[in-house]
This record gives sequence, structure tokens and C-alpha cells, in this order.
Amino acid sequence: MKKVVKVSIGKMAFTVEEDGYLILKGYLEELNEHYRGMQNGNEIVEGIEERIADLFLEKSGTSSVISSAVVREVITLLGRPEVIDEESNETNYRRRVNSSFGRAEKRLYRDPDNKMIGGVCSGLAAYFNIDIAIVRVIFLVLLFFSWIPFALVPFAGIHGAGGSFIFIAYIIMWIAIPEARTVKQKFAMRGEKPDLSNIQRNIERSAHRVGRDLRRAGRNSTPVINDFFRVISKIFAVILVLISIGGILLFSFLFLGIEIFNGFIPANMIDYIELGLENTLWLKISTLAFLFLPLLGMLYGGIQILFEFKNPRFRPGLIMFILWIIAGFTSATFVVKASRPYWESAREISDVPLTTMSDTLYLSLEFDNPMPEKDLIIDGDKDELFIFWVDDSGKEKRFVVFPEIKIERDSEYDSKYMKLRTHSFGYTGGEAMMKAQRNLPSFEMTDSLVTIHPDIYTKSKKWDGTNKRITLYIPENVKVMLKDPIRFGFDGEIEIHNGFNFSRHRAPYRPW
Amino acid sequence: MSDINTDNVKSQMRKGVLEYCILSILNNNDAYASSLIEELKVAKMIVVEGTLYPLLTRQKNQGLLSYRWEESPQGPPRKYYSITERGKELLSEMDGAWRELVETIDLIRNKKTQ
Repeated sequence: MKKVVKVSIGKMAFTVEEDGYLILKGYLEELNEHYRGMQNGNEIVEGIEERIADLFLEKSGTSSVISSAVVREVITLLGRPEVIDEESNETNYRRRVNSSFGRAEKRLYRDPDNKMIGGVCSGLAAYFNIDIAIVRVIFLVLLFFSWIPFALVPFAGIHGAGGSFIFIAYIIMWIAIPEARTVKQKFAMRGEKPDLSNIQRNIERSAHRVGRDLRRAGRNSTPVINDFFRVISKIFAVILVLISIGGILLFSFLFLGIEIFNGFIPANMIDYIELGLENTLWLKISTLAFLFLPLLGMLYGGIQILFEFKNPRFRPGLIMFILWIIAGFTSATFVVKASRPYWESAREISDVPLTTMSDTLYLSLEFDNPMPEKDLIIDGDKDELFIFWVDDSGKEKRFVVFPEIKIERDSEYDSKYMKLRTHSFGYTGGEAMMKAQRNLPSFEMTDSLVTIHPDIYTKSKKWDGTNKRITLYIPENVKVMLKDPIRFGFDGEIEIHNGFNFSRHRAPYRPW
Repeated sequence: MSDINTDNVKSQMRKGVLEYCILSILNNNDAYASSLIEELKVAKMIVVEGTLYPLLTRQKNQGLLSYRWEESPQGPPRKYYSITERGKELLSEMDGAWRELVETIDLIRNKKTQ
């Protein structure tokens, strides 16, 4: 039993034995390569091809199968390009455009015949002349080690992706390394010269392999390994698809303003920040593209592996990669420009004595609307507290940001005082300094109550990087109490008036 | 050694006149590439058939030949070659050169044998 291939040679259809087909294909490629640089070189090859058709017809007729022996005979009759040149004195006339032919050049190709995913591993194995299994195992080991954090915590594990360089490297190689399509490329992949004797040897080699596989199949061992890799690649594909979908959802929620997890994730927070850009549209688009494109690529790659369809001719992977690079550069450029108002910074400090005589200091965080029960960002521990939230009650969203409150205790302080600090940014040091001086935390003090006012940021009055802090320097024995709506610190927990506990910020051993 | 030498000399001579042969054949009749091959093979002018195709293409590029598509006895249309006026001019020049060459060689040989 022999496999046959249907081919059209010289505008006629023939059925050729597979081995013969490979030899013929190699021969025609060799001719094409040889005459490519010549004027009307394609006519020469066409002519020879037509002659091949005539000879096939003469020797076997149209109905029967062309055997490999006939193919070899016909090729001998027509002659290899070097012989033809020798005989026709061509070398005297033609300027050889491509003199590299004939040298056995080794090139890195992806190997489509032995591929699991993209043929990268098999190509590397062919290039370095090592067993494919070794390359695959190396890849898988590196991959699984670096992916574990990501796979376990797909949402939280974005930092884990730093170790996934092998995955990205694979994708890049997949895109960058060409696939060995022609017989010549397949030989160049192994660094062999693609002449007919080599092609024949190669065919014999594959025949041996088939025979060996058949024998092994009889003993039920090889398919296990093949299935193993197939299963691994499918699992890999599923992981790819899941991660990419997860990432796409996550980024969509984050940046396109869909609220999840009962928390607030502002849709367009960047519009509340002072930037060196008038229009943030392109910054947003390029940054989103930079984040989303790799995920789309992963999704595409995963689906491709899962359903085993071929890459369309327009190379979507390559297009995505190029777009990604462009988006990265664009985003970086805009980020640099946008960050310009933050290149210089200045600090301003002012001390205010605390006049209270009692041993309890009350703090009140005051705003015209009540503090919300949720959608509140709060970060505090035994001597620090930072709160901000988004006030939705008005027409326009407002960011309500309170100065960070810090407590410094020392029994040796004989006088209590507050230190107000502001850290501002600007194009120039002078501008930053002026901003800092004008923007000290605002507060009111009446006896033992310190009322602290927040800063309100809207689209028309944007946050410009100004950070404020109030530090209380007080002796150990003075108690600090936060007035409603937050209970903070007396029992070591932060508690908002509706009773929601932020147990992560527990500071159990030393109350304020 | 001598075998290789004679072979080499023969092939050099053959190559020199191959194009002349093609033009001569086409001067008699227009022909398909395959019938050209048959004729040249019978005359033992070519060793491998592929030789013909680069030559035909070059002569066509030089304007010595032209071709038209004709139904072939078997299968799809094939190129049917014919000689052009320019080809005929070159051929007559070649004829002259050939005659001269034969005469010269005869002359040399006759001198030698005398």
C-alpha cells in the first residue's frame, strides 16, 4: 500500500506516489531557485514542467499512478540545474543573482511537520540537532514554574506574569520565526543541502520512522507519549483562553468603568488628575491597546490550538504584535508628556501647637455630605489613617480626599503639637514650592477637637499630585479619638458607622 | 584520462553549436519544444533534455525566436516555436562562420597529412 498525491504538472493532472511527489517537488523548487534571478526564468521552469508532463504521459498515461521510479527517470532525463547549465553554457551568459544556492546554510525555521503548537520547539530541536522531547520538556518546565502564581490567582497574580517570559518568548518566536514550508527550507532547517540524494535519504528516514512507529504502536507505547503532549497542549490552550478572558474582563472592569466586587473602580479616574496633556484620549487608547492586545493574542492563540485551525494569510498574530509595539511606544510617549507637571517637587512644613489641656484629643473628619457606607478607600493601622471616597450625590463626581493622619508618640514631648506637611509637584521647583505653600492641610481647632477638612477634586479642579499629611506629636498618655462616622483604633479595629469591619487593618496591641 | 579529455572536447564542441542547431531546425519547420528535443536527441546534440529550455528562453529574449500557443497532440496547448527575421539573419551569419570553420579545419588537416 502506498500513499499517492494528486498534482497538476504542466496544466495536466497526475496521480503520483508520495515519495515521487516529494522528489519532484524538490526538483521543481531547485529549478525555481536556480532560475529565479534570470530574465524570464519562470518560462524555463514552465517549459521543463510541461516536458515533465509530456514524459509522464508518454511513460505512464494519465490514468495510472506515476511511480517514484518514473519520477526519478524523468528527472535524470531532464537533468539537474547544474548539469543543464553545464550543457547549455548558461553560465557564460547569465549573471548569477543568487550565488548562495548549493551551500548548505542552516537557518532557524519552525517545523510544521512535527509541531504541537506552533512548531517552535521542533524547529529549535532541528536547528540544534537535539531531540524534540528534550526541548519540549525544557519549555514546559520553565512555563509551568513561571505560570504557577498566575494560574492559581489569575486576578491577583498580575505580578506573577513577570516570570512568564518563556511564554512571551514562545509567542514572539512563533511570530518571528518563519515556518519551513518548502523542501529547501526544511533542509535548511537541519543544515542539509537539498539535493535529490538528500531528499531521497530523508524520505527513507521518514519511512523508517513510520515503520518504527508502527512497530511501537504494536507494543502500545508511542501513542501514550503523543497523546500526552497533545493533552498538555490542549490544557495549555485552555489555560491561555481562561487567562486571556479573565484578563480582558478584569481590564474591562477596571478601565471601562464597570463596578464589581462592591467596590468602586472609577471609570475615568485619569480625568481627575492634572496632566501635561490637554486631551487624554490617545493616552487612554494606546495604553488600553498595550494592555489588551497581548490578551487578545493569547485568546487567539489558545483558540487556534484548541480548534487546530491554520493561520490565515494576513498573519493576525504579526499584526497584533506590530500594533502592540506601536501602542507601547505611543503610550510611553504620552505618559512622559502627561507626567511633565510632576517632574519637580517641593515640600512645605508648618508647626501648630495643640492647646488642649485634657488627655483626650478628638479628631473629626468633616465634609458636607455624610461618609458613604461603601465605596470607600481606607488605609490605616495603629498610628496612621488615610481615607478617601467618591461623592456621587451631586451632579458631578467628586473625589473627597482627607489628609493622611499620623501619630507620633513620645513620653518626652512636653508640649503637644501638630505638624502640617504638603508635598507638591510642578513644572518647575518654584511652581511646586508655591503650590505647597498655598496648600497646607486645612483644619479648625477648638479646645480638644481638631476638625480636618478634605480636599475636593473634580474634573475642573483636578488632583495635581499634592499630598497632605497631619502628624500629631503627643505624649504617650494622650488618647486620640476619632469622631463619627468612623470608630477607629479604640479596640484596634477600624469600624465605619454601619458596622463594616476592616479586619485587615487591625492594630490589636496598642490603641491610639 | 584520455576518455575524460575526449568527452570534454566533444561536449565543448557540441555546446558551441547547439544554438546554431536550434536555429537551423526551426528554420526548416516551426516546432514544439518536445519535437526539438526529439530531433536534438537523435542527433546526439543534447545529453539532458532540460538543456533546451534555458537556451530557448534566451534566444526568445534576444528576439531570435518567437512562439505561439498551439494545441499539442496530447494534452493542453504548448508553445510552438518559430524563427524570426533576426534569427534568420543570425543564422545566415552562423552558416557563413560554420562553413569558414569547416574549411579552415579541412585546410589545417590537409596540411598536416601532407
